[in-house]
Amino acid sequence: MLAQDAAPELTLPLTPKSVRFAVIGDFGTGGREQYEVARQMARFHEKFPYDFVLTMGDNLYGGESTADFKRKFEDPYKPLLDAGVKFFAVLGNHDNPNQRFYKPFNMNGKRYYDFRRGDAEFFALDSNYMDPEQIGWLKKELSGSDAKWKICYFHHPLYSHAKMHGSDTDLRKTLEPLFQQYGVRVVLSGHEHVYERVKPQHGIYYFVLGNSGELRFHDLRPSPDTVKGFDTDRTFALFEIAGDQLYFQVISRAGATVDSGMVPLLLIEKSRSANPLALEHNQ
Amino acid sequence: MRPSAIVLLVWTVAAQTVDPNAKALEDYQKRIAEYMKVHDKARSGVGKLKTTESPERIAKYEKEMAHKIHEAREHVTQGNIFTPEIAAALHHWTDEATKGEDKTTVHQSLRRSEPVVVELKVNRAYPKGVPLQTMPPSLLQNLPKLPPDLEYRVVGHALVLRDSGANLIVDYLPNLIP
Repeated sequence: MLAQDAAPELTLPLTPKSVRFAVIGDFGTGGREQYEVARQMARFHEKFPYDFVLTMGDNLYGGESTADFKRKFEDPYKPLLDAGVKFFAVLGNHDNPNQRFYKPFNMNGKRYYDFRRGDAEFFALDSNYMDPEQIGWLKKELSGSDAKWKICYFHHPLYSHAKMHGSDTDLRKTLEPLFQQYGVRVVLSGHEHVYERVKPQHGIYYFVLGNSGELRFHDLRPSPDTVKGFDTDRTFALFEIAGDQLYFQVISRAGATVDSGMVPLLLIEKSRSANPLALEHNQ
Repeated sequence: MRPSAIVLLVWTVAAQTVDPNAKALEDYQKRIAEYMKVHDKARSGVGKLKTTESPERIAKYEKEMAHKIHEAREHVTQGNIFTPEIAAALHHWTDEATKGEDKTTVHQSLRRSEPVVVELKVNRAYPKGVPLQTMPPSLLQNLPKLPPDLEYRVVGHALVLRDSGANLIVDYLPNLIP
């Protein structure tokens, strides 16, 4: 029996009325591995019915014809799309910015946007082009949000220990002070074709997931700041927000759990310590 | 202090506070506005792109926009917007980001943003399937603001002015980025 045929093992609590979503990044290859990850996503959706998927960009590699959209997005995720799961995309460096007009990406023609689900507000940013207008918009939206959970996601990671690119320090210098000031708790990115969870920085939990289609085998460098890394297969992630807890489970193409844990809500406002609250996780 | 000395001092201070690139900026904004007239005219013929389930509709819009703008600007060459004076000002504004206090992070960001090399031709499409290199925020903060349909992009050492709706290279300035 193939590993992917084993029953999905869920580590998430499945709390009633929780906010549930999946995360994929750097996926639009149209290759066999993307389809296999998508198949796992559909299998886990049966056990953990999530409402939407956040994409970390690089939604389509190479061509962007009608056939490309079909092969790299509509076909692999058909079971999810048919089940009413919505995709909320951001742009990667491989994406034509006009993808924002493609309805199933739910960007409503905007390079950056936000939306609310229960106690959580999601801020989808265009890290390819962080101009003063976008920074001003983010500041306004973050300061005006009363959401318990503020989650930002965009393509380029502020922290990464992959060999290919590494951290985008200019972007970090621009965004992280805003995240700290307005209580962003979780930041999700892609770009690196690996999975990495970074030790919380200034109370912010950073996840890099850019291997839902592409993969850079053994690309991660050992770092004391890496809590968990995985660079030998493709992954996607599931998240569940239930009150003051955000649970996560990262799953490989074969259906194995690569990482899981819980992020507690930030209780210490504007803390500047490296890790004000302990992270519960299964290594 | 004698009155004439005071006048000279005031004149010197005033001369120092006048932006030496103000004239170039004014000319730049004028040229951008002229380009946008062409862009807007093309769009009035093509119609506004709305969100759609059809990737074909998006591609068609891009193609029709590019065709109309290309026709209207058939004879433009490199430097049609980035004139020597504007280029000098752009060097100044870029140097502030790439040689000033942000230089370390800007250079790091440029190195790590998946640099691309493509042949640049004014009034031609940015090649499909080639990634768009990320613009460091500190660099964008130093460059003049553009209308929503125009954007700056880095290609190798060149700064490219790109029409994002039509996927057209409007102009480029070689050897601007260190």
